[in-house]
Amino acid sequence: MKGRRGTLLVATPIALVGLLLGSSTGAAWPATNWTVTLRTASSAESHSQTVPSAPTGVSAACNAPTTAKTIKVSWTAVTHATTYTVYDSTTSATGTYTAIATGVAATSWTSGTLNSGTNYWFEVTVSVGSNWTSTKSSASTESTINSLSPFCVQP
Amino acid sequence: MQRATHDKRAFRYTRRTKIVSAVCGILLAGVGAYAATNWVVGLNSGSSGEGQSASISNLTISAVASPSATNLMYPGGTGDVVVTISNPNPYPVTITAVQLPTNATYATGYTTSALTTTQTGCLAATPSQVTWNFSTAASGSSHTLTTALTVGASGQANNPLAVTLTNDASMGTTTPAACASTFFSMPSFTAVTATGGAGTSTTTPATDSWTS
Repeated sequence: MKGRRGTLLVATPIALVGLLLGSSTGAAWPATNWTVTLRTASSAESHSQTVPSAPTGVSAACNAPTTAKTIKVSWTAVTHATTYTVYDSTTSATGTYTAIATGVAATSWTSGTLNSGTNYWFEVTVSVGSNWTSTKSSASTESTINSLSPFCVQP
Repeated sequence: MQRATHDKRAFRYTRRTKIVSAVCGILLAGVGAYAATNWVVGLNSGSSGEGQSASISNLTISAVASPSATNLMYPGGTGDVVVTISNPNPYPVTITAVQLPTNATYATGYTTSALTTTQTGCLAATPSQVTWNFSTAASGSSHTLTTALTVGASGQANNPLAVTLTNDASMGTTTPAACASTFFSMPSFTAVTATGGAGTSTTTPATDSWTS
């Protein structure tokens, strides 16, 4: 009897410590089965943006009209843009446009030497990543390249 | 003499039982301490973990349309993920980390937030290039939440718990244009890590993330 009383006296406080440790973070936890599963595979939802809108504020300026037959095209930055592509038309503002500069990272581009006696209009697209590309912007104003100085003029 | 022998045996018995009881007490303490450590909650139904569970029911992590994501993904960028976590247990459960599938496990795109009609040209097999941010080539990589999430006990407040995981979805630079303006069902977690329930549950809706 003495021994059994001793068992209770010694074991109880230590066991209580153990139980208290367990209860400190959830006394309801059973002593086993620590690993449980979700009823089904988890699901979670995310959403993507739209394809970027066409750049705005596209303008063309004679770059160095007294010395060069070049035009600088500028536009407003597009959020998350990766690159821009510049197109030109030599027939009209609504004519057929051809890509003349791709992979442009900045918000401006300066042409090489252009053809004399030719009118130029420019449009720009923006790409986010390699596959999300906007429609073409509105056309820039007209620029004319001359054979004599000033080599570039704008109406 | 007989009396002395009896007393000696009684003394030995008492001493032995004290030792045994002390060991039992220490073991109980160990069990209690173990309850305070992290345990991993698997997500696949039918796993051995589910079979072992007799009195702990399974958590459910579900996609939700509301609250809607604030940060939307774009090629080469990240976006928010929204979920609700349900806890059917009569005690709070605290989630501290998630385990992610590989970074080659892609999300499927859907036309609406109901996630019922798939988006043509933007499927997991396309691939959509939409994955969990910070996932690795290894399945089951563990990522610690910035703040632990405690889901309330069954029938109590903050259960289910709505959570926005800030910028934890990632879109590749080669994602097809068909994936624009699309809703994605993110790949299933391989597991989550949790601890025994805390006293205070996280207020829903909550914002959290893992950042590495």
